[in-house]
Amino acid sequence: MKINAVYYSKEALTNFRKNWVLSMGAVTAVALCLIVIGAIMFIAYMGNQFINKVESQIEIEIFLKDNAPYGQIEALQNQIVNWSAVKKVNYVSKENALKKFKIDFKDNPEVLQNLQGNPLPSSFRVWLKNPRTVEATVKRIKRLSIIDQVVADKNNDIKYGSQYVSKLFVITRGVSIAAGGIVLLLIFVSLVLITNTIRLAIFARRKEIGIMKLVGASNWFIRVPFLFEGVIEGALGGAIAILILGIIYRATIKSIMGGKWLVFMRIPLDQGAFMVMLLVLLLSGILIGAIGSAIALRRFLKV
Amino acid sequence: MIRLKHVSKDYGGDRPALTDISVNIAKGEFVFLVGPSGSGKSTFIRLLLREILPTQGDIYISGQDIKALRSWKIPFLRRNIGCVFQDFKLLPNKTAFGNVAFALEVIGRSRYMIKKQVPEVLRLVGLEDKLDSYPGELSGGEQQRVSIARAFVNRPPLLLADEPTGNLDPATSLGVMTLFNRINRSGTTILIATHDREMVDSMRKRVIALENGNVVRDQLRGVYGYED
Repeated sequence: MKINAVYYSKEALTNFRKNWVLSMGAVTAVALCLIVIGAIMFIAYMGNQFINKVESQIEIEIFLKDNAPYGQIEALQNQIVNWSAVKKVNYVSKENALKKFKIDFKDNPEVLQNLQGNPLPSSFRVWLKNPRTVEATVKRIKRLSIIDQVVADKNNDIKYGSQYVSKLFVITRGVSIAAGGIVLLLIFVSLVLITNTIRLAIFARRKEIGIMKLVGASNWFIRVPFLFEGVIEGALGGAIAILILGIIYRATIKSIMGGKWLVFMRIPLDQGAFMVMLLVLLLSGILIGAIGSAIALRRFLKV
Repeated sequence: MIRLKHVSKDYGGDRPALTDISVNIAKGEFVFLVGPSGSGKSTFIRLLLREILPTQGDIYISGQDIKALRSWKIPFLRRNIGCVFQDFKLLPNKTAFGNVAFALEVIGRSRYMIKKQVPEVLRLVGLEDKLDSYPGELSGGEQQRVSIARAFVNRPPLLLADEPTGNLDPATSLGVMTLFNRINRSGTTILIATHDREMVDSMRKRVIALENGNVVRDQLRGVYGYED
């Protein structure tokens, strides 16, 4: 079996060399295909991270009436904080709200100058364990009997950022459907090119194959070198794709970091996830190569 | 060794290639299969190699029904059948040694076995001094000897030949036939499809004559028997 592995690889490499223009064509197609897949995966990953980030920042703000009785405010907080969906409830007093407002607008002194007294209401900030429960939780808050006694207008004074997120979901869904279409097309083209390369390799060796059959070489003994060739081409395409994606990644991420906007968005760049992506690309290349040559073997090599 | 029971093969032409053939060939026999072109000789050989399946009837080789053989087992059938052709079917980029060794390599024999057996069988066919010659450097008769060596290197119990002397002059043909005779004496069953009249007549072996897909004659120590 050890001798066989050496034999198979040698045969596969000989085929590759004899037909290197075509083989490189197939390799290039696989590489292109995987670069696009990799880019899409990367963008999807970033998008997902971004959504997660936005979601984790989702909070419900309940703005309170200035004249709400203190006991009722406390009662509201005690109720909400005990719900299983709720992670944390913070009380922001009028004074703290003003402080924060002054910090936020310290670059716009004219806004602060026009400020008379403290127009800002006190509020509760409610954080949730799972951002997707936000709408249900808001509804539940509105149904509370106590709410009308602490909030002036329950339809306007309870705010959350959900509309924004659901729009993001729609966009990412559209983008991933389009990307999926492109990826399928590229996979198809790669498969066709690999199949064609292997078909020509089979054709070039038909005399040897005929003799091999005649003297009783087993079917797999005849097939495996061609399968190896496809796998080598796929793997090579994967390696090239990884190399190019790596270069692009380094170049763009650096410039983006320079522009600071990624830092601003605070998206974690997980090295581990990136490595997994590269591995997936390499395996996809190998898989495309194997399937492409398997198709050629089924169609053009009758054993 | 070989048993055909009511075998017919129809390729879909105007008449079947073989019609209701029943033939028994015992182990160790030397048989000529004769007949004009298109009489069904090649179909006969291809059926035995299981390159094609009979339309009707059963074929047994060493008691095994080869019609029922699963496709992955076919190579193992062929390892027990040596095969020689009119056009030699040698690989031009391999030496005589390489061509014979190829047959052993692809069935997974060890290097040691190959180094031992190939020169031995090439000596048997009288080419011990041409081990490193390429087919292009060999005469037709020598090339056919290489192909016989390749067919026999695995010591198969059955050797088939389809017009083995078709491309050779009479003197060379005689040498090749002598070689077949020698291999036959070691116990190998031999079936040769040919229309080489002189050869058949001089050997006086069993002759099965085909005509239009029918067996018209089957005699021991026979002659070719047609007037072309």
